[in-house]
Amino acid sequence: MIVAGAVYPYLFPRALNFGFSLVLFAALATAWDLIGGWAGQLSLGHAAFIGLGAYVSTLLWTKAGMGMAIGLPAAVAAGVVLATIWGFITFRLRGAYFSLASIAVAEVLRILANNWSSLTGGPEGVNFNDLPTVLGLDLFDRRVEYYAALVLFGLALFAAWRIGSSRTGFWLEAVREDQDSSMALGVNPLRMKLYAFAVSAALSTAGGCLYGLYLSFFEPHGVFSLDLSVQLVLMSIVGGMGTLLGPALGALVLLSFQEGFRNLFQQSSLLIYGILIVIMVRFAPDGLSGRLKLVFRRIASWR
Amino acid sequence: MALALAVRSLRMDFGGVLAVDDVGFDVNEGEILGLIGPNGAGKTTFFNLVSGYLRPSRGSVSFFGRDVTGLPPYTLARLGISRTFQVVRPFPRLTVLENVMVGAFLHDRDPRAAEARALEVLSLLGMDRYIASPASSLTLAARKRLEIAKALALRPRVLLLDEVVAGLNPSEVAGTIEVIRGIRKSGVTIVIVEHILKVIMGLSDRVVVLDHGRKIAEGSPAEVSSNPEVITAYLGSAEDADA
Repeated sequence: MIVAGAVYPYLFPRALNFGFSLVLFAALATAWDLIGGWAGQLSLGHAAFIGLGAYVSTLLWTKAGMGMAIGLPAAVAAGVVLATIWGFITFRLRGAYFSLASIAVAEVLRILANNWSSLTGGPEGVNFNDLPTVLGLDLFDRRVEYYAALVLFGLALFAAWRIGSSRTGFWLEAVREDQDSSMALGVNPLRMKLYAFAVSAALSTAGGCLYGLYLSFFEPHGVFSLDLSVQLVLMSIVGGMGTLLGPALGALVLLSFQEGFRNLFQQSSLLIYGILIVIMVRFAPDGLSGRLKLVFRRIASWR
Repeated sequence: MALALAVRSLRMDFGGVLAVDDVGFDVNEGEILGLIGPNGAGKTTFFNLVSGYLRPSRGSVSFFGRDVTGLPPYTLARLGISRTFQVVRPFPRLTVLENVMVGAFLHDRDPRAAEARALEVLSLLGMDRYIASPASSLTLAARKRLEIAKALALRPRVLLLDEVVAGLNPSEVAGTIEVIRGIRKSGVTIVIVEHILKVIMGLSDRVVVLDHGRKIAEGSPAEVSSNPEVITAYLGSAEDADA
Protein backbone atom coordinates (compact mmCIF):
# COMPACT_ATOMS: atom_id res chain seq x y z
CA MET A 1 0.00 0.00 0.00
CA ILE A 2 2.84 2.35 0.86
CA VAL A 3 4.51 1.57 -2.45
CA ALA A 4 1.23 2.20 -4.27
CA GLY A 5 0.94 5.53 -2.45
CA ALA A 6 4.50 6.51 -3.28
CA VAL A 7 4.33 5.78 -7.03
CA TYR A 8 0.82 7.18 -7.54
CA PRO A 9 1.96 10.65 -8.73
CA TYR A 10 4.09 9.01 -11.44
CA LEU A 11 1.33 6.69 -12.60
CA PHE A 12 -1.47 9.28 -12.58
CA PRO A 13 0.17 12.72 -12.87
CA ARG A 14 -3.13 14.17 -14.09
CA ALA A 15 -5.17 12.88 -11.17
CA LEU A 16 -3.09 14.43 -8.41
CA ASN A 17 -6.05 16.32 -6.96
CA PHE A 18 -7.96 13.11 -6.49
CA GLY A 19 -4.85 11.43 -5.09
CA PHE A 20 -4.32 14.24 -2.60
CA SER A 21 -7.94 14.13 -1.43
CA LEU A 22 -7.79 10.38 -1.11
CA VAL A 23 -4.64 10.32 1.01
CA LEU A 24 -5.63 13.34 3.08
CA PHE A 25 -9.09 11.99 3.86
CA ALA A 26 -7.66 8.55 4.60
CA ALA A 27 -5.45 10.26 7.18
CA LEU A 28 -8.32 12.34 8.60
CA ALA A 29 -10.70 9.38 8.80
CA THR A 30 -8.02 7.26 10.50
CA ALA A 31 -7.50 10.11 12.99
CA TRP A 32 -11.26 10.43 13.58
CA ASP A 33 -11.50 6.71 14.22
CA LEU A 34 -9.15 6.93 17.22
CA ILE A 35 -11.79 8.79 19.21
CA GLY A 36 -14.88 7.74 17.25
CA GLY A 37 -14.17 4.06 16.61
CA TRP A 38 -11.74 2.98 19.31
CA ALA A 39 -13.09 5.09 22.15
CA GLY A 40 -16.67 5.07 20.81
CA GLN A 41 -17.16 8.83 21.14
CA LEU A 42 -19.01 9.80 17.97
CA SER A 43 -17.64 13.24 17.27
CA LEU A 44 -19.61 15.14 14.64
CA GLY A 45 -17.38 18.18 15.00
CA HIS A 46 -13.99 17.20 13.64
CA ALA A 47 -14.27 19.97 11.06
CA ALA A 48 -13.41 22.21 14.02
CA PHE A 49 -9.85 20.83 13.91
CA ILE A 50 -9.61 20.97 10.13
CA GLY A 51 -10.79 24.57 10.04
CA LEU A 52 -8.58 25.50 12.98
CA GLY A 53 -5.52 24.04 11.25
CA ALA A 54 -6.31 25.79 7.99
CA TYR A 55 -6.96 29.18 9.62
CA VAL A 56 -4.13 29.17 12.16
CA SER A 57 -1.46 28.23 9.63
CA THR A 58 -2.79 30.65 7.03
CA LEU A 59 -3.26 33.60 9.35
CA LEU A 60 0.17 33.13 10.90
CA TRP A 61 1.54 33.64 7.40
CA THR A 62 -0.70 36.42 6.13
CA LYS A 63 -0.79 38.37 9.41
CA ALA A 64 2.54 37.59 11.03
CA GLY A 65 4.72 36.41 8.19
CA MET A 66 5.42 33.03 9.79
CA GLY A 67 5.60 30.16 7.32
CA MET A 68 4.57 26.54 7.61
CA ALA A 69 7.66 25.63 9.63
CA ILE A 70 6.06 27.55 12.50
CA GLY A 71 2.46 27.49 11.29
CA LEU A 72 2.09 23.70 11.32
CA PRO A 73 3.38 23.06 14.87
CA ALA A 74 1.49 26.08 16.17
CA ALA A 75 -1.74 24.85 14.61
CA VAL A 76 -1.22 21.33 15.99
CA ALA A 77 -0.62 22.77 19.46
CA ALA A 78 -3.81 24.83 19.15
CA GLY A 79 -5.69 21.68 18.10
CA VAL A 80 -4.49 19.74 21.13
CA VAL A 81 -5.41 22.61 23.48
CA LEU A 82 -8.86 22.86 21.91
CA ALA A 83 -9.37 19.08 22.24
CA THR A 84 -8.33 19.10 25.89
CA ILE A 85 -10.71 21.89 26.86
CA TRP A 86 -13.52 20.55 24.68
CA GLY A 87 -13.03 17.01 25.99
CA PHE A 88 -12.82 18.09 29.59
CA ILE A 89 -16.19 19.79 29.33
CA THR A 90 -18.11 17.41 27.09
CA PHE A 91 -16.79 13.92 27.92
CA ARG A 92 -19.07 14.01 30.94
CA LEU A 93 -21.90 13.81 28.44
CA ARG A 94 -22.70 10.39 27.08
CA GLY A 95 -23.75 9.02 23.73
CA ALA A 96 -25.85 11.32 21.59
CA TYR A 97 -25.31 14.29 23.91
CA PHE A 98 -21.58 14.23 23.28
CA SER A 99 -22.21 14.10 19.52
CA LEU A 100 -24.63 17.02 19.66
CA ALA A 101 -22.20 19.08 21.71
CA SER A 102 -19.46 18.34 19.18
CA ILE A 103 -21.58 19.80 16.36
CA ALA A 104 -21.91 22.93 18.46
CA VAL A 105 -18.14 23.32 18.88
CA ALA A 106 -17.52 23.32 15.13
CA GLU A 107 -20.46 25.67 14.60
CA VAL A 108 -19.17 28.12 17.19
CA LEU A 109 -15.79 28.21 15.47
CA ARG A 110 -17.45 28.65 12.07
CA ILE A 111 -19.53 31.58 13.33
CA LEU A 112 -16.46 33.08 14.99
CA ALA A 113 -14.46 32.87 11.76
CA ASN A 114 -17.41 34.26 9.86
CA ASN A 115 -17.84 37.33 12.07
CA TRP A 116 -14.35 38.22 13.21
CA SER A 117 -13.68 39.80 9.85
CA SER A 118 -10.73 41.92 10.90
CA LEU A 119 -8.77 38.77 11.66
CA THR A 120 -10.22 36.09 9.44
CA GLY A 121 -11.55 38.00 6.48
CA GLY A 122 -15.06 36.93 7.47
CA PRO A 123 -17.34 35.21 4.98
CA GLU A 124 -15.12 36.23 2.09
CA GLY A 125 -12.50 33.86 3.40
CA VAL A 126 -8.75 33.97 3.19
CA ASN A 127 -6.50 33.70 0.27
CA PHE A 128 -2.84 33.00 0.53
CA ASN A 129 -0.06 32.61 -1.93
CA ASP A 130 3.72 32.94 -2.26
CA LEU A 131 4.52 30.90 0.85
CA PRO A 132 8.25 30.56 1.55
CA THR A 133 9.66 27.22 0.53
CA VAL A 134 10.31 24.64 3.24
CA LEU A 135 13.55 22.66 2.80
CA GLY A 136 13.64 23.94 -0.75
CA LEU A 137 10.18 22.55 -1.56
CA ASP A 138 7.49 24.66 -3.16
CA LEU A 139 4.42 24.10 -0.99
CA PHE A 140 2.04 24.94 -3.82
CA ASP A 141 3.38 22.13 -5.95
CA ARG A 142 0.63 19.50 -5.96
CA ARG A 143 3.18 16.75 -5.83
CA VAL A 144 4.75 18.18 -2.66
CA GLU A 145 1.32 18.52 -1.10
CA TYR A 146 0.51 14.96 -2.07
CA TYR A 147 3.61 13.56 -0.38
CA ALA A 148 3.02 15.69 2.71
CA ALA A 149 -0.47 14.17 2.96
CA LEU A 150 1.00 10.71 2.44
CA VAL A 151 3.40 11.29 5.34
CA LEU A 152 0.47 12.39 7.50
CA PHE A 153 -1.47 9.27 6.53
CA GLY A 154 1.58 7.19 7.50
CA LEU A 155 1.70 8.93 10.87
CA ALA A 156 -2.02 8.37 11.43
CA LEU A 157 -1.69 4.67 10.60
CA PHE A 158 1.30 4.40 12.89
CA ALA A 159 -0.62 6.05 15.75
CA ALA A 160 -3.62 3.77 15.18
CA TRP A 161 -1.39 0.70 15.05
CA ARG A 162 0.49 1.66 18.20
CA ILE A 163 -2.71 2.35 20.10
CA GLY A 164 -4.48 -0.71 18.72
CA SER A 165 -1.75 -3.12 19.74
CA SER A 166 -1.19 -1.77 23.25
CA ARG A 167 -2.90 -1.45 26.60
CA THR A 168 -4.32 1.90 25.51
CA GLY A 169 -6.31 0.23 22.72
CA PHE A 170 -7.79 -2.37 25.06
CA TRP A 171 -8.72 0.27 27.60
CA LEU A 172 -10.29 2.52 24.96
CA GLU A 173 -12.39 -0.42 23.77
CA ALA A 174 -13.39 -1.18 27.36
CA VAL A 175 -14.55 2.42 27.76
CA ARG A 176 -16.50 2.16 24.50
CA GLU A 177 -18.15 -1.14 25.45
CA ASP A 178 -19.07 -0.29 29.03
CA GLN A 179 -17.70 2.82 30.66
CA ASP A 180 -18.98 2.02 34.15
CA SER A 181 -17.60 -1.47 34.36
CA SER A 182 -14.28 -0.38 32.85
CA MET A 183 -13.75 1.79 35.94
CA ALA A 184 -13.90 -1.30 38.17
CA LEU A 185 -10.93 -2.66 36.23
CA GLY A 186 -8.74 0.33 36.94
CA VAL A 187 -9.51 2.34 33.80
CA ASN A 188 -9.96 6.10 34.14
CA PRO A 189 -12.40 6.81 31.28
CA LEU A 190 -11.92 10.58 31.16
CA ARG A 191 -8.17 10.19 30.90
CA MET A 192 -8.39 7.56 28.16
CA LYS A 193 -10.84 9.62 26.11
CA LEU A 194 -8.79 12.80 26.50
CA TYR A 195 -5.68 10.96 25.30
CA ALA A 196 -7.38 9.54 22.21
CA PHE A 197 -9.01 12.90 21.48
CA ALA A 198 -5.72 14.78 21.76
CA VAL A 199 -3.91 12.42 19.36
CA SER A 200 -6.86 12.56 16.97
CA ALA A 201 -6.90 16.36 17.20
CA ALA A 202 -3.16 16.71 16.53
CA LEU A 203 -3.43 14.63 13.35
CA SER A 204 -6.65 16.34 12.25
CA THR A 205 -5.27 19.85 12.73
CA ALA A 206 -2.16 18.95 10.77
CA GLY A 207 -4.50 17.64 8.08
CA GLY A 208 -6.33 20.98 8.23
CA CYS A 209 -3.08 22.83 7.50
CA LEU A 210 -2.54 20.70 4.39
CA TYR A 211 -6.15 21.15 3.37
CA GLY A 212 -5.80 24.94 3.61
CA LEU A 213 -2.63 24.77 1.58
CA TYR A 214 -4.32 22.61 -1.04
CA LEU A 215 -7.34 24.92 -1.32
CA SER A 216 -5.17 28.04 -0.96
CA PHE A 217 -8.43 29.96 -0.85
CA PHE A 218 -11.12 29.01 1.63
CA GLU A 219 -13.99 30.40 3.69
CA PRO A 220 -15.47 29.47 7.08
CA HIS A 221 -18.38 27.64 5.53
CA GLY A 222 -16.07 25.27 3.68
CA VAL A 223 -13.56 24.20 6.31
CA PHE A 224 -15.81 24.25 9.40
CA SER A 225 -18.81 22.58 7.77
CA LEU A 226 -20.91 19.80 9.25
CA ASP A 227 -20.69 18.15 5.85
CA LEU A 228 -16.94 17.72 6.30
CA SER A 229 -17.34 16.22 9.78
CA VAL A 230 -20.04 13.84 8.59
CA GLN A 231 -17.85 12.65 5.71
CA LEU A 232 -15.14 11.53 8.13
CA VAL A 233 -17.67 9.67 10.28
CA LEU A 234 -19.13 8.00 7.23
CA MET A 235 -15.75 6.88 5.92
CA SER A 236 -15.08 5.13 9.23
CA ILE A 237 -18.53 3.56 9.36
CA VAL A 238 -18.34 2.36 5.75
CA GLY A 239 -14.82 0.99 6.10
CA GLY A 240 -15.14 -0.34 9.64
CA MET A 241 -14.83 1.52 12.92
CA GLY A 242 -12.11 0.63 15.38
CA THR A 243 -10.01 -1.13 12.75
CA LEU A 244 -6.58 -0.18 11.42
CA LEU A 245 -7.34 0.04 7.70
CA GLY A 246 -11.14 0.40 7.73
CA PRO A 247 -11.29 4.22 7.71
CA ALA A 248 -8.82 4.45 4.82
CA LEU A 249 -10.83 1.87 2.88
CA GLY A 250 -13.95 3.93 3.60
CA ALA A 251 -12.22 7.06 2.29
CA LEU A 252 -11.34 5.23 -0.94
CA VAL A 253 -14.90 3.99 -1.46
CA LEU A 254 -16.62 7.24 -0.58
CA LEU A 255 -14.32 9.52 -2.56
CA SER A 256 -14.48 7.28 -5.63
CA PHE A 257 -18.24 7.43 -5.34
CA GLN A 258 -18.18 11.20 -5.09
CA GLU A 259 -15.84 11.46 -8.04
CA GLY A 260 -18.08 9.20 -10.13
CA PHE A 261 -21.33 10.96 -9.32
CA ARG A 262 -20.04 14.45 -8.83
CA ASN A 263 -23.13 16.26 -10.09
CA LEU A 264 -25.40 14.20 -7.94
CA PHE A 265 -23.30 14.89 -4.83
CA GLN A 266 -23.28 18.63 -5.30
CA GLN A 267 -27.05 18.69 -5.10
CA SER A 268 -27.84 16.21 -2.40
CA SER A 269 -24.75 15.00 -0.56
CA LEU A 270 -26.45 14.78 2.85
CA LEU A 271 -29.29 12.72 1.42
CA ILE A 272 -26.80 10.26 -0.05
CA TYR A 273 -24.84 10.11 3.23
CA GLY A 274 -28.06 9.36 5.06
CA ILE A 275 -28.98 6.53 2.72
CA LEU A 276 -25.44 5.13 2.95
CA ILE A 277 -25.58 5.09 6.75
CA VAL A 278 -28.86 3.18 6.68
CA ILE A 279 -27.49 0.64 4.20
CA MET A 280 -24.29 0.10 6.19
CA VAL A 281 -26.03 -0.26 9.53
CA ARG A 282 -28.53 -2.70 8.03
CA PHE A 283 -26.22 -4.90 5.95
CA ALA A 284 -22.67 -4.46 7.27
CA PRO A 285 -22.65 -3.05 10.79
CA ASP A 286 -18.94 -3.90 11.11
CA GLY A 287 -18.12 -2.00 7.94
CA LEU A 288 -16.67 -3.22 4.68
CA SER A 289 -13.48 -4.48 6.31
CA GLY A 290 -15.60 -6.64 8.63
CA ARG A 291 -17.56 -7.97 5.63
CA LEU A 292 -14.38 -8.66 3.68
CA LYS A 293 -12.95 -10.54 6.64
CA LEU A 294 -16.04 -12.76 6.69
CA VAL A 295 -15.80 -13.39 2.97
CA PHE A 296 -12.12 -14.34 3.22
CA ARG A 297 -12.86 -16.63 6.13
CA ARG A 298 -15.59 -18.33 4.13
CA ILE A 299 -13.30 -18.78 1.12
CA ALA A 300 -10.62 -20.22 3.39
CA SER A 301 -13.05 -22.68 4.93
CA TRP A 302 -14.13 -23.97 1.50
CA ARG A 303 -10.71 -25.39 0.82
CA MET B 1 -4.36 -10.06 61.93
CA ALA B 2 -4.60 -6.93 59.82
CA LEU B 3 -7.84 -5.18 59.06
CA ALA B 4 -8.52 -5.42 55.33
CA LEU B 5 -11.51 -3.12 55.54
CA ALA B 6 -12.76 -0.98 58.39
CA VAL B 7 -16.17 0.50 57.69
CA ARG B 8 -17.33 3.20 60.11
CA SER B 9 -20.87 4.62 60.41
CA LEU B 10 -21.36 4.57 56.67
CA ARG B 11 -24.48 6.30 55.43
CA MET B 12 -26.03 6.82 52.02
CA ASP B 13 -28.88 9.24 51.78
CA PHE B 14 -30.73 9.26 48.43
CA GLY B 15 -32.66 12.50 48.94
CA GLY B 16 -34.37 11.38 52.15
CA VAL B 17 -34.25 7.63 51.56
CA LEU B 18 -31.57 6.10 53.75
CA ALA B 19 -30.30 3.17 51.68
CA VAL B 20 -27.42 2.58 54.08
CA ASP B 21 -27.85 3.84 57.61
CA ASP B 22 -24.86 4.02 59.97
CA VAL B 23 -23.36 0.69 59.02
CA GLY B 24 -20.00 -0.23 60.49
CA PHE B 25 -17.97 -3.42 60.72
CA ASP B 26 -14.51 -4.85 60.14
CA VAL B 27 -13.28 -7.31 57.56
CA ASN B 28 -10.19 -9.23 58.66
CA GLU B 29 -7.44 -10.06 56.23
CA GLY B 30 -7.90 -13.50 54.71
CA GLU B 31 -11.49 -14.09 55.79
CA ILE B 32 -14.67 -14.61 53.81
CA LEU B 33 -17.33 -12.25 55.11
CA GLY B 34 -20.89 -12.87 54.01
CA LEU B 35 -23.27 -9.93 53.65
CA ILE B 36 -26.93 -10.89 53.65
CA GLY B 37 -30.31 -9.29 54.02
CA PRO B 38 -33.73 -9.26 52.40
CA ASN B 39 -34.37 -7.46 49.12
CA GLY B 40 -33.74 -3.74 49.42
CA ALA B 41 -31.62 -4.13 52.54
CA GLY B 42 -28.87 -1.98 51.03
CA LYS B 43 -26.32 -4.66 50.12
CA THR B 44 -25.62 -3.47 46.59
CA THR B 45 -25.60 0.17 47.68
CA PHE B 46 -23.08 -0.82 50.31
CA PHE B 47 -20.88 -2.41 47.63
CA ASN B 48 -21.17 0.70 45.49
CA LEU B 49 -20.00 2.80 48.43
CA VAL B 50 -17.01 0.62 49.21
CA SER B 51 -15.96 0.26 45.55
CA GLY B 52 -16.21 3.97 44.81
CA TYR B 53 -19.30 4.01 42.59
CA LEU B 54 -21.14 6.12 45.14
CA ARG B 55 -19.82 8.71 47.55
CA PRO B 56 -21.14 8.15 51.06
CA SER B 57 -23.16 10.95 52.65
CA ARG B 58 -21.28 10.27 55.86
CA GLY B 59 -18.87 7.79 57.41
CA SER B 60 -15.60 6.29 56.27
CA VAL B 61 -14.00 3.25 54.71
CA SER B 62 -10.39 2.38 55.32
CA PHE B 63 -8.40 -0.23 53.48
CA PHE B 64 -5.45 -1.74 55.36
CA GLY B 65 -5.33 1.36 57.54
CA ARG B 66 -5.56 3.86 54.71
CA ASP B 67 -8.61 6.12 54.39
CA VAL B 68 -10.14 5.45 50.97
CA THR B 69 -13.54 7.09 51.48
CA GLY B 70 -14.93 8.57 48.28
CA LEU B 71 -12.02 7.61 46.01
CA PRO B 72 -13.05 6.77 42.42
CA PRO B 73 -13.37 3.10 41.37
CA TYR B 74 -10.25 3.07 39.19
CA THR B 75 -8.07 4.34 42.04
CA LEU B 76 -9.50 1.73 44.40
CA ALA B 77 -8.87 -0.96 41.79
CA ARG B 78 -5.26 0.17 41.60
CA LEU B 79 -4.95 0.01 45.40
CA GLY B 80 -6.35 -3.52 45.48
CA ILE B 81 -10.13 -3.44 45.91
CA SER B 82 -11.96 -5.11 43.07
CA ARG B 83 -15.58 -6.03 42.56
CA THR B 84 -18.04 -7.91 40.38
CA PHE B 85 -21.45 -6.68 39.30
CA GLN B 86 -24.72 -8.35 40.20
CA VAL B 87 -26.00 -7.61 36.71
CA VAL B 88 -23.07 -9.04 34.74
CA ARG B 89 -21.33 -6.56 32.49
CA PRO B 90 -18.91 -8.16 30.05
CA PHE B 91 -17.51 -6.04 27.22
CA PRO B 92 -19.77 -7.69 24.64
CA ARG B 93 -17.72 -7.27 21.47
CA LEU B 94 -14.43 -8.37 23.01
CA THR B 95 -13.52 -12.03 23.37
CA VAL B 96 -13.39 -13.66 26.78
CA LEU B 97 -9.59 -13.47 26.76
CA GLU B 98 -9.66 -9.77 25.82
CA ASN B 99 -12.21 -9.07 28.55
CA VAL B 100 -9.89 -10.50 31.18
CA MET B 101 -6.84 -8.81 29.64
CA VAL B 102 -8.45 -5.40 30.23
CA GLY B 103 -8.13 -6.14 33.93
CA ALA B 104 -4.74 -7.83 33.67
CA PHE B 105 -3.30 -4.70 32.02
CA LEU B 106 -3.62 -2.80 35.31
CA HIS B 107 -0.41 -4.28 36.64
CA ASP B 108 1.15 -5.61 33.43
CA ARG B 109 1.56 -2.96 30.81
CA ASP B 110 3.09 -5.37 28.32
CA PRO B 111 0.42 -7.10 26.18
CA ARG B 112 2.17 -10.47 26.34
CA ALA B 113 2.45 -10.38 30.13
CA ALA B 114 -1.21 -9.30 30.39
CA GLU B 115 -2.24 -12.15 28.11
CA ALA B 116 -0.27 -14.65 30.19
CA ARG B 117 -1.93 -13.36 33.37
CA ALA B 118 -5.37 -13.53 31.76
CA LEU B 119 -4.80 -17.10 30.55
CA GLU B 120 -3.64 -18.10 34.03
CA VAL B 121 -6.80 -16.67 35.63
CA LEU B 122 -9.07 -18.24 33.01
CA SER B 123 -7.57 -21.67 33.52
CA LEU B 124 -7.87 -21.25 37.29
CA LEU B 125 -11.59 -20.68 36.73
CA GLY B 126 -11.88 -23.57 34.28
CA MET B 127 -12.75 -21.30 31.38
CA ASP B 128 -10.04 -22.33 28.92
CA ARG B 129 -12.46 -23.48 26.27
CA TYR B 130 -14.17 -20.06 26.06
CA ILE B 131 -11.00 -18.04 25.42
CA ALA B 132 -11.76 -17.07 21.82
CA SER B 133 -15.55 -16.71 22.17
CA PRO B 134 -17.08 -13.26 22.10
CA ALA B 135 -18.31 -12.43 25.60
CA SER B 136 -21.80 -11.80 24.23
CA SER B 137 -22.13 -15.48 23.29
CA LEU B 138 -21.65 -16.87 26.81
CA THR B 139 -24.31 -18.50 28.99
CA LEU B 140 -25.30 -16.78 32.23
CA ALA B 141 -23.18 -19.19 34.25
CA ALA B 142 -20.12 -18.49 32.13
CA ARG B 143 -20.74 -14.74 32.27
CA LYS B 144 -20.86 -14.84 36.05
CA ARG B 145 -17.62 -16.78 35.99
CA LEU B 146 -16.14 -14.20 33.61
CA GLU B 147 -17.03 -11.44 36.09
CA ILE B 148 -14.93 -13.19 38.72
CA ALA B 149 -12.09 -13.71 36.22
CA LYS B 150 -11.99 -10.00 35.32
CA ALA B 151 -11.92 -8.96 38.96
CA LEU B 152 -9.27 -11.53 39.80
CA ALA B 153 -7.01 -10.44 36.93
CA LEU B 154 -6.46 -7.19 38.86
CA ARG B 155 -4.55 -9.10 41.57
CA PRO B 156 -6.82 -7.69 44.28
CA ARG B 157 -6.25 -7.85 48.02
CA VAL B 158 -9.96 -7.51 48.70
CA LEU B 159 -12.56 -8.98 46.37
CA LEU B 160 -16.21 -7.91 46.56
CA LEU B 161 -18.50 -10.52 44.99
CA ASP B 162 -22.06 -9.40 44.26
CA GLU B 163 -24.39 -12.39 43.78
CA VAL B 164 -22.07 -14.55 41.72
CA VAL B 165 -24.07 -17.69 42.50
CA ALA B 166 -27.66 -16.51 42.06
CA GLY B 167 -29.27 -17.99 38.96
CA LEU B 168 -26.88 -20.92 38.57
CA ASN B 169 -27.88 -24.60 38.66
CA PRO B 170 -26.70 -26.76 41.59
CA SER B 171 -23.63 -28.18 39.87
CA GLU B 172 -22.56 -24.72 38.68
CA VAL B 173 -23.08 -23.44 42.23
CA ALA B 174 -20.80 -26.14 43.61
CA GLY B 175 -18.15 -25.26 41.03
CA THR B 176 -18.25 -21.55 41.88
CA ILE B 177 -18.02 -22.28 45.61
CA GLU B 178 -14.87 -24.29 44.94
CA VAL B 179 -13.48 -21.38 42.95
CA ILE B 180 -14.18 -18.90 45.75
CA ARG B 181 -12.52 -21.16 48.33
CA GLY B 182 -9.51 -21.40 46.03
CA ILE B 183 -9.29 -17.61 45.74
CA ARG B 184 -9.36 -17.23 49.50
CA LYS B 185 -6.65 -19.85 49.84
CA SER B 186 -4.42 -17.72 47.60
CA GLY B 187 -4.60 -14.97 50.23
CA VAL B 188 -7.40 -12.74 48.94
CA THR B 189 -9.92 -11.34 51.42
CA ILE B 190 -13.49 -11.79 50.22
CA VAL B 191 -16.76 -10.01 50.94
CA ILE B 192 -19.67 -11.80 49.34
CA VAL B 193 -23.28 -10.73 48.91
CA GLU B 194 -25.61 -13.58 48.18
CA HIS B 195 -29.28 -14.39 48.31
CA ILE B 196 -28.90 -18.12 48.73
CA LEU B 197 -28.41 -18.49 52.49
CA LYS B 198 -27.14 -22.05 52.26
CA VAL B 199 -24.23 -20.86 50.12
CA ILE B 200 -23.36 -17.96 52.41
CA MET B 201 -23.62 -19.99 55.57
CA GLY B 202 -21.40 -22.74 54.18
CA LEU B 203 -18.79 -20.38 52.79
CA SER B 204 -18.44 -17.49 55.24
CA ASP B 205 -16.30 -17.24 58.35
CA ARG B 206 -18.51 -14.43 59.60
CA VAL B 207 -21.80 -12.96 58.47
CA VAL B 208 -23.19 -9.43 58.64
CA VAL B 209 -26.95 -8.98 58.24
CA LEU B 210 -28.49 -5.80 56.86
CA ASP B 211 -32.15 -4.89 56.95
CA HIS B 212 -33.59 -1.59 55.70
CA GLY B 213 -30.09 -0.17 55.49
CA ARG B 214 -29.15 -0.99 59.09
CA LYS B 215 -26.88 -3.66 60.46
CA ILE B 216 -29.06 -5.93 62.59
CA ALA B 217 -26.63 -8.75 63.34
CA GLU B 218 -23.02 -9.82 63.02
CA GLY B 219 -21.29 -13.06 63.95
CA SER B 220 -20.57 -16.64 62.95
CA PRO B 221 -23.07 -18.28 60.60
CA ALA B 222 -24.49 -20.31 63.49
CA GLU B 223 -24.93 -17.25 65.74
CA VAL B 224 -26.58 -15.23 63.00
CA SER B 225 -29.00 -17.90 61.88
CA SER B 226 -30.34 -18.35 65.41
CA ASN B 227 -30.67 -14.58 65.97
CA PRO B 228 -34.39 -13.76 66.46
CA GLU B 229 -34.08 -10.37 64.76
CA VAL B 230 -32.63 -11.99 61.66
CA ILE B 231 -35.39 -14.57 61.56
CA THR B 232 -37.96 -11.80 61.83
CA ALA B 233 -36.32 -9.82 59.02
CA TYR B 234 -36.41 -12.81 56.71
CA LEU B 235 -39.70 -14.43 57.65
CA GLY B 236 -41.64 -11.47 58.99
CA SER B 237 -42.99 -11.23 62.52
CA ALA B 238 -46.17 -12.79 63.84
CA GLU B 239 -47.87 -9.38 63.68
CA ASP B 240 -46.93 -8.98 60.02
CA ALA B 241 -48.45 -12.34 59.32
CA ASP B 242 -51.71 -11.26 60.97
CA ALA B 243 -51.91 -8.01 59.04
